[in-house]
Amino acid sequence: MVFPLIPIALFVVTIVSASFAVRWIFIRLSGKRVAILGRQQVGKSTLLHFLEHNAVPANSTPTVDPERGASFAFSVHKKVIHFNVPSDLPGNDGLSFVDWKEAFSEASYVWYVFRADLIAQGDPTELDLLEEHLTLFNHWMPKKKSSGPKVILIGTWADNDPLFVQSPHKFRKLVAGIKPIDVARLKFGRMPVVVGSLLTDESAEKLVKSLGKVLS
Amino acid sequence: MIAVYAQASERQGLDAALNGHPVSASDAAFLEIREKAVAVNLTQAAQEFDGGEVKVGRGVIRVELLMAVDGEAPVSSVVVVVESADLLRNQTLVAPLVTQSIAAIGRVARAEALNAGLALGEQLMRGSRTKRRVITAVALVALAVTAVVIARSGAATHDLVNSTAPWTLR
Repeated sequence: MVFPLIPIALFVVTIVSASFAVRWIFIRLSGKRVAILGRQQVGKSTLLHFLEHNAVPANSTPTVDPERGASFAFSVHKKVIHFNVPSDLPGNDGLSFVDWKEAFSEASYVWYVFRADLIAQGDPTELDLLEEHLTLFNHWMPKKKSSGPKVILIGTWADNDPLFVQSPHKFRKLVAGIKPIDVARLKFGRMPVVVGSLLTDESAEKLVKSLGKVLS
Repeated sequence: MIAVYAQASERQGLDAALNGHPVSASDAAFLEIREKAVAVNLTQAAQEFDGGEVKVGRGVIRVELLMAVDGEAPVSSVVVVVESADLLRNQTLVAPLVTQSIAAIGRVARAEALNAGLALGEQLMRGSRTKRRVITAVALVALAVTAVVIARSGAATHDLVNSTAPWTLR
């Protein structure tokens, strides 16, 4: 009676192994996985659109439900690297955290987008939100940090702050030194911070160039 | 069941309503229907109409209504999710409940856009039902033909064995 079960078991094992192999190959071929996370209306979809089309969208509407992501190539130190953002996730408070966690655990890179202008002003709600998100990342990060994703902080809306307009370097230094970011950088080890704006194609290009510098 | 939701403008999170009444976005019944809408959004192709887009699947119709832009600030679109059985049963009853649900989350939708979206959704759902029925019918016919062919070949083999076996054994 047991004998006929052996081919069935072998068949099941083959199918399961094949599906894992196909998934592994697909992930490798589609490039480095990136999870773009952050609060709602911070510019995650705008950034993704810019990376895919090299232009900020003419009309932007907030992402209500997860949307299909995109793949794009990025020149890092004269070497073209392919990236894949499997889905464009919204930032709807706690509702999104299940999707965020999954994206975080499968990613090679996590690009966390935040409102640099509000953080620089010391907005308490924004600081709490940032702290909450960075604490979550710390929980989701594997014990062996080197096996987890590389987290990069991307501050947007910087054009709202006069200091950024005068001296982007000083503004970046100010934002990177603010408590939740500073504390998280100590916990995570190296966690680059880039700041800029996604208001126009030119400003988005500058921001993406800064991102390219810290990707290596 | 009818769910309506949009991204909140004054806070992080969603404004949500179920069957004409506002609910928390973490309400179990709301989460259940939204999960279907999210799956449909990620897997199905959109059909556009003047004022939004429609996607159908998983027993629901997901209508995304674009809202008029308020100054420079981007305004969240409103997502309407209707269980297809409800819409197919009676569209005239569904439309007022959807309008009430949209009002429950503090939004106003253009009646023409909403009706166009629901009508397109109904049309798509009926189309997909017919397609499913045709596929099922074709599959059943193919199965029946295969069964007949197997049965006949079995009978032929049996006849062959019966006719030749005694002769070869001898």
